Amino acid sequence: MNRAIFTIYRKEMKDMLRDKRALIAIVSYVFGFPLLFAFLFYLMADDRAADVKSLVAIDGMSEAPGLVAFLEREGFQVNEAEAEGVPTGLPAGADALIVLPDDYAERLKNGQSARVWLYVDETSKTTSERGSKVGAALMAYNQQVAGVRLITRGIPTGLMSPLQVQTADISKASFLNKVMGNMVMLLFTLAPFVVGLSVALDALAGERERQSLASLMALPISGGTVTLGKWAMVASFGLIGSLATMTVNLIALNLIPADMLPFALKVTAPGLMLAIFQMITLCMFVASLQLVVSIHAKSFKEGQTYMSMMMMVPAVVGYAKIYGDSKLPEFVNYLPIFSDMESLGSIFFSGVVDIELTLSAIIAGLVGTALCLTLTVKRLTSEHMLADA
Amino acid sequence: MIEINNIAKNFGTVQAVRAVSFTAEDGMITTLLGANGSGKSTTLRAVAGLLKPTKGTVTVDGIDVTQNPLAAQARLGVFPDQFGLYTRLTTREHIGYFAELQGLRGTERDKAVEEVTRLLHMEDILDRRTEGFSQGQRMKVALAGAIVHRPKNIVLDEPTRGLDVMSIRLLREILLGLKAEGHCVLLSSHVMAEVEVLSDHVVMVAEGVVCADGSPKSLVEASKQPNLEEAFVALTNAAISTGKTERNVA
Repeated sequence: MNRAIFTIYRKEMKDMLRDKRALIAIVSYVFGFPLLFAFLFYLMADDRAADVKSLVAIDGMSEAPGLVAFLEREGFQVNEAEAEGVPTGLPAGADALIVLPDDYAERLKNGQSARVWLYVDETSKTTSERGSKVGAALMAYNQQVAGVRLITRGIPTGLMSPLQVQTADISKASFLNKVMGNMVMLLFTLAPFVVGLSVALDALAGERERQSLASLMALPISGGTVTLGKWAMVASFGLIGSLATMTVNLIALNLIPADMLPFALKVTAPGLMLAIFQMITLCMFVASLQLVVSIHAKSFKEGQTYMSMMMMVPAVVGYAKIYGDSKLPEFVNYLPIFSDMESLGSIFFSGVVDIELTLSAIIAGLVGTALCLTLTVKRLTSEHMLADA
Repeated sequence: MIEINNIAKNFGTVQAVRAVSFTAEDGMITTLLGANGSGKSTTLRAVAGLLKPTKGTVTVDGIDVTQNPLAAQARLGVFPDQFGLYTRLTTREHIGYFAELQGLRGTERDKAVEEVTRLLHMEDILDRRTEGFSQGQRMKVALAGAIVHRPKNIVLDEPTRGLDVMSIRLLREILLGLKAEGHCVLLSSHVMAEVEVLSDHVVMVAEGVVCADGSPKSLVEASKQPNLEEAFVALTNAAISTGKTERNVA
């Protein structure tokens, strides 16, 4: 039996390696998506490095040496600007514009309030964040001046600040990091689906379409042998494509400047080994799923329709994971694809292996594989199939 | 030797085969002769182990096909009515694949491929991919795959369909050669001239029932008709009109 499985596997591999459709699917997926992602990251990336100082333009700068000194201490670069009326845009290169009234120095000197205008650009997330930082700095300066006024009047500053709120971000990743990271994990997870699609269709639907199934099933080999040989070929194709996708993307992501990436990769050797092992079980499952679909199609074209419908499942699951992760119930993390994305994400982004997640991904893959292969063998050996083979 | 003992086959409410019994002996060419839809292909599929009869038994060299399909299939070479080829494989790879699945390995496999290639005069296409082959060339490749392991029993479902005169003549020579070597050859056909020339034993089938059984000559004589075609029409019409299930044995 094993020799017959190997014979079928070898023939199928040889056959599919000569199929241009199968090879184009691998090459385009493996090399196309890194380029697409690089372009996407470029569009999303901040146009300046994180350590570049934000530029604050001040109209009436000469009136506020204390404010300028404070802002510079806080890491801002301060420039003089002139604004007339309500500005329609920020001065070139500036992240915010502060307009001080003409009597700014006079009012502060007299212990009065001065109305200060802060103009920011909230067109994009980056410019909005930079504007907010300037706003926060102004508020801090406001507190400092207020504190000095209170001290000079003999009043403890603590009276005006009953609460001292300190905020710290304890999330593993920001929302953007999570979304982009999950997109890369979805890319890895979809690889066996895309790469194996054509070969899985050809393996069974193609066999029916070219009317070679009867000749094959009349040979002294069982339906299980035929199925296992073909499944091994589809899984191998999926695995080759997936590992190539993973390798090329990880290399490409490492080549992209860190400030252009919305997340940080933490690839370790044990993590990589575990990810490969997990991809093997995922490819086994996907190959078996594709064969179930393929066996129900009488032709390649009919199979393409079914496969397109089937492909919607991992895509929808992936997007649900990307955009609705926080709203999904806990148990979905133990379902195929969900668990794969979650586990691969923890391996590549946190650098920490969540063994429970990884194990659930592997077990879900193995159970799914056994179920799908059983269904394929049952269908392949059914009289309904062989009567019109 | 292939023995078919009173098989029937239903597909839901459709009764494709009602009662077919006959024996295909070694060293003889046995032909199932019948109109389209008479149950020939269903019978041959039951012999090949592709379908399980609703009732009755099929044995190949004494092995029950239903009980032990793989052992029976190992003694068969099957040339189905639809013979698709793997178009990205060469003829050699194609035949070698079937040889390996029949259990041949290494030099034994290579030798078998060479022999069947010589037998079917296909040396010129041996290392060509099968894509774009003519119907005759396709038939040769499919037949080579079916007989590469030199099975004792060979089943062919309408093997001359779609073939040109030269290919039919070649196929006839091959089948007669296999018969001379002592193989049991069972085929189906509705081409009278072919049946008359090739067959030692003709089994006439109509509406899933064997209505006559014997040598071409004896069937013509028993029906008192001038030729096999007239004999076939007379015998099958008589069976259909009377609804008889018992056969005429000539």
